[in-house]
This record gives sequence, structure tokens and C-alpha cells, in this order.
Amino acid sequence: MKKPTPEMRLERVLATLSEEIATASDTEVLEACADLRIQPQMKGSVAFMGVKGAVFPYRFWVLPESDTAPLTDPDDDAPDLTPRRQ
Amino acid sequence: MRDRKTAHIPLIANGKTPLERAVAAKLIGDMNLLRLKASARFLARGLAPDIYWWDLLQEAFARVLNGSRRCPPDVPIDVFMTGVMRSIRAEHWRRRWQLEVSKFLSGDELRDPAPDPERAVVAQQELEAIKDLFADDPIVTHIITGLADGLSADEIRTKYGLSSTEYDSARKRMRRALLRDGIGSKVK
Repeated sequence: MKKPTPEMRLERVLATLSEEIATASDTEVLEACADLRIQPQMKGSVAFMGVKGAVFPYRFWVLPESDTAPLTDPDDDAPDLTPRRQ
Repeated sequence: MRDRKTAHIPLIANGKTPLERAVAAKLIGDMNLLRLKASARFLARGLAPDIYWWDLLQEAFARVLNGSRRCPPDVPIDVFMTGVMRSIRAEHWRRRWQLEVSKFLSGDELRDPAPDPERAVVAQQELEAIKDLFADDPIVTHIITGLADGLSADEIRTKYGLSSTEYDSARKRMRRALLRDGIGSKVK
């Protein structure tokens, strides 16, 4: 049998463990929050940092869809956000 | 066809990101948000400084909202969104290495590059970093090694002499540790 490459091994672990997280029960999520002494029920809870309230930005240029995206460095493709001179 | 710099702009119309639009549309609730944050943080391991966990999460919602990914009715939203993030991660991983090798290869060589030893080393390091999260839990470490080897749950139990209870308890500890790691307050 062909030995799996490190990338295949990593992909298997990422697939299984990310699915473990996705299928965790609400009780398990709340238990994990309790371990961290975080109360997600409170308004502005740190548990939601980045996903609710102050949501982290959508940088649409960093993960382009592969079928249309040319091969470029993500940094080269960032929009020009420098102020324009009048 | 719109170019890729403008293709997603309607998704941030009215100042709302794809994630905010999904929340506003009640596609997901608070518990979904916490699970998806934890999944995103786990899947973004090793992608910084180019990509952060919220990039995976926002892009996954962008693709669902623009219709390029559709959630089958029988698949839970968290499982589906996690699958989308995983596929976006894989795309990025391939693209990043393709970009690296394109500096040295061209034409046919670039379309079918030979296995890259450096890429293998990075993957191995990532795998070790995941195991390090559970360094004080040998049963969980065995399970992760077994998963990496492509073993089923029964095969892992047999190989490491674990009872069903030991295996299930270890999985529960593993899930909780991953949730803690993902929900915790660290930004990156």
C-alpha cells in the first residue's frame, strides 16, 4: 500500500477534527465557554469577538475563487486604499 | 464578466460583511457562530500571516450568499460551512505553493509539479502542532495519529487497546479542547 504523504495525513486530521467542532452540541459549546469563564449570554461577550458586534472585516481579495483567479501574490492583488490626491 | 476585485463588492454593500448579512438573515444563530468561529480558527492554523481565521469564515459565507455553494437540505449548516472553509483552505494551500514553484518552473512542469519536500515538511509540522495541543493526553494523541493514518474508529481502538468508553471520552475531551481553543479571546 502506498504510504500517505504528510499533506494527506494533515488533510485527514483537519477534516475529522473540524467536523468534530461543527457537530459539537450546544451543551459542549457552553461547557467550553464555562472552562474559559466566558459567558456568551452576556451582551458584548468576548466569545463573539470578531463574529458579532465588532465583526472582523471581509478581505475579499485574499481568497479568490480558484476557477477565475489568476496566479498572483495576494499582497499584489489588494485594492489600492491610499487616499487620492485632489 | 466582472473582474475579481469587484466581483464580491455587492456582498459588502451597505457596509455589511457576508457574515453580518448571514446573521441578519437569521441563517445562523449564536451557537452556530461559536462553533463556526472555532472551526475557522482550527482550519486557519498555519495560514497566517497571509490569511486569518475570519478570512475563511467571511469567504465561506460570501460563497454561500453569492450562490456558488449551496447547502443541501439534509446537512447541518455548521457541518456544511465547515466543509466550505476546508475547501477554501485547500484551494489557498495549493495556490500558495503553486505561486512558490511558479518562480522556478514553467509550462508543463508548473501544471504537474513534482511532490515538494518543503511542502511536506510544513504539513508535517502542522500535524505535530495539532498533536501538541493534546500533549498531555496520550489517548487523544493516539486517536489523532490513527486518523492521520486513515484508520477507522474500530481500527484505532484495536490498535491502541482502547475500550469504547475510553475512545468516546477522549473524543469528548478533544472536542471540548478544540472549542476552548477556538472560542478563546485571542484575536489571531
